[in-house]
Parts: sequence; structure tokens; C-alpha cells
Amino acid sequence: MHIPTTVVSLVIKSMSESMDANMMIHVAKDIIRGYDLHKRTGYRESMAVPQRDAADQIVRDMAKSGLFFYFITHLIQIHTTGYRGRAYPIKYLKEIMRMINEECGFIYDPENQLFVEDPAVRRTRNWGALIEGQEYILSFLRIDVAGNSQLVRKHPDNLVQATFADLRKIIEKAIYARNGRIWNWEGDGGLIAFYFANKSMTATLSGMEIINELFAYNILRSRLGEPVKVRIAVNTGLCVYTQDQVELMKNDSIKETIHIESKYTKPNSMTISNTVSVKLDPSILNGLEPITADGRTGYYAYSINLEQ
Amino acid sequence: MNIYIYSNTKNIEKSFAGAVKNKKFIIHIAPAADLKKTVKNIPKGSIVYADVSSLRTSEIPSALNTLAKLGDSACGIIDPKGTIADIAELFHNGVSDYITPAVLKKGVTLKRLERIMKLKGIEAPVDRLKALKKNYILTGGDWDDVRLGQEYTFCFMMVELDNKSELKSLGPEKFGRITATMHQYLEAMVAPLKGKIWIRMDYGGLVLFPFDGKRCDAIEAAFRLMINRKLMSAELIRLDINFSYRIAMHIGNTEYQTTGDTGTIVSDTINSVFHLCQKYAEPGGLYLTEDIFILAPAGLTSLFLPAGTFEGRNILRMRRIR
Repeated sequence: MHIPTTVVSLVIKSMSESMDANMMIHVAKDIIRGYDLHKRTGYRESMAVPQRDAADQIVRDMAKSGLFFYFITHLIQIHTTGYRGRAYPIKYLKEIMRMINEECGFIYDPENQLFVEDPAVRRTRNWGALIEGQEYILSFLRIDVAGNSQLVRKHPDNLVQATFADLRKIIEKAIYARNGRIWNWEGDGGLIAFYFANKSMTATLSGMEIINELFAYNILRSRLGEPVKVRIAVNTGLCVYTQDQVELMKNDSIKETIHIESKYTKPNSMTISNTVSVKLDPSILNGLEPITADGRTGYYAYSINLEQ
Repeated sequence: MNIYIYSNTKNIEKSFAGAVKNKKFIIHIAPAADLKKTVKNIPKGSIVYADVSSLRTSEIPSALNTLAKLGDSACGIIDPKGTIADIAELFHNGVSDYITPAVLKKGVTLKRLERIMKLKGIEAPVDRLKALKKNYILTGGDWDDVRLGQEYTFCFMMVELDNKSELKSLGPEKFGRITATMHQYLEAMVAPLKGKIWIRMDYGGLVLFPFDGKRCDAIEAAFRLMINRKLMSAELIRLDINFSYRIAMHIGNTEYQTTGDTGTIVSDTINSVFHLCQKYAEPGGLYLTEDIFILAPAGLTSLFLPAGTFEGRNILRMRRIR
């Protein structure tokens, strides 16, 4: 990703005014193992690299190697917790973060200690943060239309397609408000991933909103003259991030989410797994019904049941 | 207009399909065993049918006795097997209709129901609407033409938190945060339907919606508040207490003043909606007067059950969410 010159210049200024060249070398080596400042700048080993030149070289190298945001994250950590037992206030940090937001469209997530894309600017499937091949803990929301084939057989194609487009709008509204990302879409449902904040909670709340909105949609705006019923499952687990769709669907946490959806979830309801419920406030669990799945407890179901 | 059929006969509603086609009537089916228990709550001006084939012979006299006491509604007997020997006696006891197996097979017509209403002097919803319309002073679909000090017809929605003492015991800071969040959420929910919080209270508020004389979409906002209660509680309030509110809705006239300058307004409509919410509505419930219910979006009407009368008006309650 291209980092604007104005941002690079400010970080160079910040580095050169916040630490000496020696310290800069240590910081650079934390990011790039074996980083050799003298070799990079062309100065002889016996000569001290001037502070400004050191900062300039390191920051440009970080930007070139795609590690710029990782480098800034490291500076933020040094600023807040110190470095090797010493305090190192980093100058202009707030301004740097503001410029990264305004000019690059990324915001700092203090909980996960990384820069992520600002959803108001762009939405990519990895939030601009997950790295290919790295393992992360994610929450997954799987949604599927129950009786999809019957709907397709029974109603004209244009009405069914319009209904599924309405469903997708409902899903997008619920998940984008909570920084979720669609990882897989099959026309009548798919897989959504959540990574930030309390991911188990945001995934659960998204599922609740989808159930509620679909309930209202079926009553007020249905195109088919019969309710569209969905099954939703929410699960949290480890996942190695990859852009490869086929490889991604082989992940155990994702497979388990799909299993919970298809095996333990009734139409028009959401099931959350035990890895999700342990992370939820009691205020949320109060509104859910405890169920058992494969003899395991800690699973809960959510649905709207009206008095008859 | 509501038709209540107490019957266990499968597909009994199909015999009334022709009569309800134009949506002038709404059919409610209930098990015959519920007749005694629930018939007292039906709105006045309804037509109630009891299916004698769903009752034991010993239960029939008691059922007829219950129907005879329905002063403000008409009643009829459905006899799918033709077992009633003395049909005239039914009419002597105040029954207005008798459905034979042949009529059941052929289907009950709209004309038949209208004749029953005429016979009993019952006002049809269309007539009721016509009578109400005479008093409407329309605002139009938005607030552009609403002038201070002028009288208009508005849809009123009063929302009040239920567990007041529990909330108050959380301390002024938390309580203030909850009410502020509640007002914010309420505003977001009513704004797309042009509603605004007119009177703010510690425990809720009174929302006004402009009214264009057609249907009242404001009921959709109340319905959404009911279905989203758990989500709102989990996402915004985050308390270990049962967060609950009741809602009352009514339509009627009032002078319009800006928020904060409403203290001197004298309005029967405002009193009615306050009383309905504070004296009649049960915790967690959504209550509508019949005056506003007849303007509800079509899909929502089946979600409401009769809930008796209050201050001379039929009241309907949304089915509870479990």
C-alpha cells in the first residue's frame, strides 16, 4: 500500500525528535530482523549515522516493505509502555494517527493493537489488517435460508431474487454496523466474520438484529406472500486467514459453525455456541434460551416467539 | 370489524374466506374450550360464532348462556352436523345467526355479516372510520405545514419504562445514562416515520407523528420497539435487570406547541393516551385504541388481540413476545 509522503515525513520528524539513532536501530530490528542501518544508508560502520538520516532511512524502508502500520503500532506501544524499562514519549503520535486516518483511511484499534481500515472509507474482507497464513481468533456467523429450494420452485425467479436481495440488505445493515465482513455469499446466505471489539458479542447482536428485521420484513414487506425463514449460527474459534475460498471453508471453526447451523438450529432462530456464550454479558444471555448440542451445554438459542 | 370463531373444526376459516376477502372483517379462530375464558375480552361490536360440534352436549347450554350475555356484540352458532333441534329457540335467546352445514359448505358471505351488523345496530369499521374522519384536522405527511397554536390530528405514542424503582436504585448517574440512551434510541426509531419526542419524561416520553388521513405507519415504530427490546437492552443498556417498557397509542386532536411549551395544553387525547399507558397497559405490552388500530398497516393487525375496553374505547394488545 502506498503511504502518502506527508505521513512519511511526519513520522521521520517524530522519530528524529523522539530518539537517538542507536535507539532507532533497536526499534527497526524489532520489526525487521537483522536490519542494518549502515548498509542501508551507505555510511561506513565506523561513522555514526546522523539522527535525521537514520529516521529517514528506517521510515522509508518500513513503508517500502509494507510494514509501515506495524511500525507505527510499535511506536504507539513504546509511547504507552516504554522500551526496555525506559519511558520514550513519541512526538506527534496523535497527529500521525489522525493523518493515517484521513489520508490512508485506516484507524488504530487499541484492543487488537493494529491499524484497520476505516469502514467509512472502504471495506475489504480482511479489514486491511489480517495477514495471509496467520492464525487469528474470529467469530463467525453462518446464515442460511431454510426451505430455499421450495421457495425457488414455488415462486417466480424475479420475486425470489428480489427477496434474497432484500435479505442481503438486512444482513449488510446488521453486520456492517458492527464491523463484520462477508466472507462467503451463496445467494441465499453465507458466512460473516467478526474480528474487532468483543467479536462474540457483535456477531450475536448482528444475528439478533437479522432475526428481528426479518420478522418485521415477513410481516410488512414480504414479496412472496409467505415468510422467509433463516437459520443462523454463531461460533468463535481459531482460523488461519487466507484469501483462498476453498481453503478457508476447510477451517475447523468454520465447519463447526456450519454444523451448528444445519444440525441444531430451528428455522427463524439463531444458535450460539459455548465459545460465544462465555464471552457474553449476562444481559444478553438473559434474553436467550439455553439448549444442549451434542450433549454439550453453554449453547443458547434466540428467536421471536409470539403468544398464540 | 372482528369475527371470533370458537371452533375445533379443521379449516373452518375457509367457510368465511369469501366474507373477509375485502379485508373489511378480520377473522380470529380460537379453540372452543376458550369461549368462556376469553370472550369477555373481545372488542365491542364484534361477531362471535360458537361451533357446537366442538362442544360436548352438556357444554352447549352454558356456551349459549355466555353468548347471550354479549350485550355489545352479535353472536351466531355454527352447526356443522345439524344437531340443534330447536333453531328458533336460539334466536329467542338473542342469537343473530345460525350457520347450517349447507351454508358452511357454500361459504358465509359478506352480505350475510353486514345484515347481522345492521340487525344488531353495530357500526362497521368503515363507518367508524367515517365518523372519526369528520374530526380529523390533517397535518399532511410531514411537519412543514404544522403551525404553533393550531389544532391538528396526530398519532400519539407514549412509551414508559416499567421497572422504575429498580432503575432509580442504580443511582442518578446510571439512571440518567439509561434515560438518555432510551430517548436517543426512541428518536432513531421514530424519525424515519417523521415522529418526534414531544414530551420528555424521566421514564419515557410522548411521541407525536403527523397524520395524512390515510394509514398510520407510526404503529410500525411501536412494533419495532417491541421486537427489538432484547437487542436494545443487550446493546445499549447493558444492565443485569430486565429492561422493559410499555407503549400506548391513540389518534386524536390537540393544539400543537413546541417541546417544553406543552404545559398549558388541555387535550382529551393526551389524557387518554397517558391514562391508557399508566393505568391500563401491563408491563412490556403494546396497547392500541381501536381508533388507531383501524389505521394499522395490514400485516400488523393479526398481531393484536382484543384487550377489553378502557374509558369507553375498545383496546387491542400486541401478542406478547416470549
